[in-house]
Amino acid sequence: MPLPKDETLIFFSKPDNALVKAICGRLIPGSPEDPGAVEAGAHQYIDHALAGYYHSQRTAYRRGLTAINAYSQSQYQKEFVELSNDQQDSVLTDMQKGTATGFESPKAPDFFNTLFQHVREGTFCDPAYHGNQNLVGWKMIGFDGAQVAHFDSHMQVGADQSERTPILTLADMEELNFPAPENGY
Amino acid sequence: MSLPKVDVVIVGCGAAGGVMAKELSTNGMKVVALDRGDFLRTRDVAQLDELRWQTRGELQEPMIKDTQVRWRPDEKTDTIGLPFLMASGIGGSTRHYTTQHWRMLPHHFKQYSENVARYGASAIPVGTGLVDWPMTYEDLAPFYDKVDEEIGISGKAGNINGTIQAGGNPFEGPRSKEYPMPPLLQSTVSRLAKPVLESLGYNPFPGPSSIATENYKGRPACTYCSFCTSYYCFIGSKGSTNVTVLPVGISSGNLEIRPNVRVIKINKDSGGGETTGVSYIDATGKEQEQPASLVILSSYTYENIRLLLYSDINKNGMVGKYFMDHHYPFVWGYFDDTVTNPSTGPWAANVAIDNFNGDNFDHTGLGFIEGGVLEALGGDLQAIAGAGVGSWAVPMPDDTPSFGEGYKQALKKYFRRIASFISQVPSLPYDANYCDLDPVVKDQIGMPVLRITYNAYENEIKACAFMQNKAENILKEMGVAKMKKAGLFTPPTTTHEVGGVRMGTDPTKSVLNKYLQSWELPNLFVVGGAVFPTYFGYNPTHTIEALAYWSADYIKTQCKPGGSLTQYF
Repeated sequence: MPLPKDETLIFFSKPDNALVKAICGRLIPGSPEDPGAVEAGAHQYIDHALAGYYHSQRTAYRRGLTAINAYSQSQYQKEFVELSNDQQDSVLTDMQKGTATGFESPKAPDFFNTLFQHVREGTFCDPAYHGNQNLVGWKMIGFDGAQVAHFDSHMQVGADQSERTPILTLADMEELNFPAPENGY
Repeated sequence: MSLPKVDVVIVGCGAAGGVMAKELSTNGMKVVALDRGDFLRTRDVAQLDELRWQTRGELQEPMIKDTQVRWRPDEKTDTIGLPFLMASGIGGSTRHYTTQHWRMLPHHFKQYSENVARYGASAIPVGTGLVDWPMTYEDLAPFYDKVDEEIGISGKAGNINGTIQAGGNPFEGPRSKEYPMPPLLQSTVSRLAKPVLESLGYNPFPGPSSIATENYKGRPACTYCSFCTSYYCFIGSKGSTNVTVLPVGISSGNLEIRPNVRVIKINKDSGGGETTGVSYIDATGKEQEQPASLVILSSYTYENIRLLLYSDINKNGMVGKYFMDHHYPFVWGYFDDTVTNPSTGPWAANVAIDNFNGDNFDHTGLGFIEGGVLEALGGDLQAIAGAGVGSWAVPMPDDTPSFGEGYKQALKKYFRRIASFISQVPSLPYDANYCDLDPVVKDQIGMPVLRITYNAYENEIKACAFMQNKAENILKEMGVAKMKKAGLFTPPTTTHEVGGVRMGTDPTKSVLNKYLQSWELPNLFVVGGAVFPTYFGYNPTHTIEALAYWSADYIKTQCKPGGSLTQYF
């Protein structure tokens, strides 16, 4: 079945995308009712980032993802995406602790850290980067986004930033005019 | 082939270089200011984008790419590479700094003599080169005033001409007048902390900042967006030198700014008695020689030291000695219920106490000297850093699972319920802490990178533990449910690295005289935190800029007919 148009891949192969998506689902789990990294589209953020800003990390990703499946096979005789949630968590925990075998460059803890960093970036970045879709990451933790102004009432004891609406993004900023220093700098 | 000679060439156009460029160009001198990075304007970067500016640190990029820094705690340990968090570009790190602008305490100018007088010579740890500064608070106060006025500082005075002012810092040295602008609106954490600090008998006050709190000299007032540390201000409210003093210099017609160039050497005449200018690689990759009557070296501490050593300007062997930094003994607190609105307002908008800074308290029996300001932290936290990614990442409580559902629930609960305290504990000037050129590692153009040998010793470890203990008591009284403590040693990645180009009164024990003039090449001046002979428990920018005004004042005087610098023109 083809992927939806808004999930068009520009770097990952389909199996790699499925693997990264599965990892996203364990690092910050979610469901339609209680969204996590997958619902935020963190895997799509990573796909775009590796095609652009993080292009120098492509080889590390290819080698690391291959090693994850090899380790999953060695432990459970299945690919990572076919494992149960608990089995997937144990693979990730072994990577984090450095006990997962078969990882050389990148080392297992290093690749775990890279993945977890990128998953968090993709969950909590501005949606312009293809992650944090529908602002689910920001809503999850109560971040009010690219607010161009806050007021005294927002800083008072008893105020709650998670109740502030609307949440603003870079796209909203483009609609606004800002002051700037009068000297032109 | 060398370019036409100018009066002054400035190497590095940030806090110190920005002030120098303005002061000397408006004095009628022909000035060329060089910088490694871009010349951006506010409208180029009017963007509240955490990923771009903080997580990926775009302003710091040219330095990260060119300049590795190697660090080892001592001579027996191998070095590791460290990230470089300072920004290059016109305005330097004043574009992305937190903007806290403190004056040193009068005591900080006399750390050696006052500690010896109060606690005896045995209180000074062995292996330190603790000294008094070559000038006093009273000498520098008029130049602090100038920073207040020209950079534009907001705050609440605590001592005006010797009269203590309610609501300000009662420990500060006397200032001639109130700040030009009122303090920032205080963060939620500060509002929670202030009554607790008062009930504990401390003297809370709002920290001073270069953020404009009202329209100031054409600079818009802060809107409390909360994208501040790591960001170029999207409307130009920060007192960055590229929006404050540099435009004044440019409009004099005497200041030419050359961005995107990299200085590789300070040149000397054949006798080695004076500098003749600098060599640099221009934006197209060609090497250029810029002759000048005076050279102002005003890059960051690291590059100031490296350029002096690489240019072989170190006859007395003092360059690189007595490298110092701050330690950040963070304590993070986590409420169960109270929301602290960490994404509301700038980091600088916080309550502070000075009860444990300098010699404001009795150190008898504590086993350490000096101390630091203790500040609440609220504001300026975006989502990615809140999830623990980036140079200002905030951690979750220790009992949080490292990933998965439990981790997610912790983020949901604590991201907006964090309350923290930080102190800035200065290292003493130790013989064992120094910088030199790395004997092995070279940068992309073949220059040796800087090697830092730096560790914390008993004095700082005890001071940090003391500060964390005070912070824990405060947070406990505020009612937090959980706490987490940072380590007692911070590696040199604070952006507050100083020392290594010591000013002093003895030409055999310092690199510069008290006007920041090189003992070795009298038409070379070095400006920046590198010149500090001892350190203090505050952010350094205000003093860096005040010293730049102080040195510029001397240069202007000595360039008048009959002055000692006229021979170089």
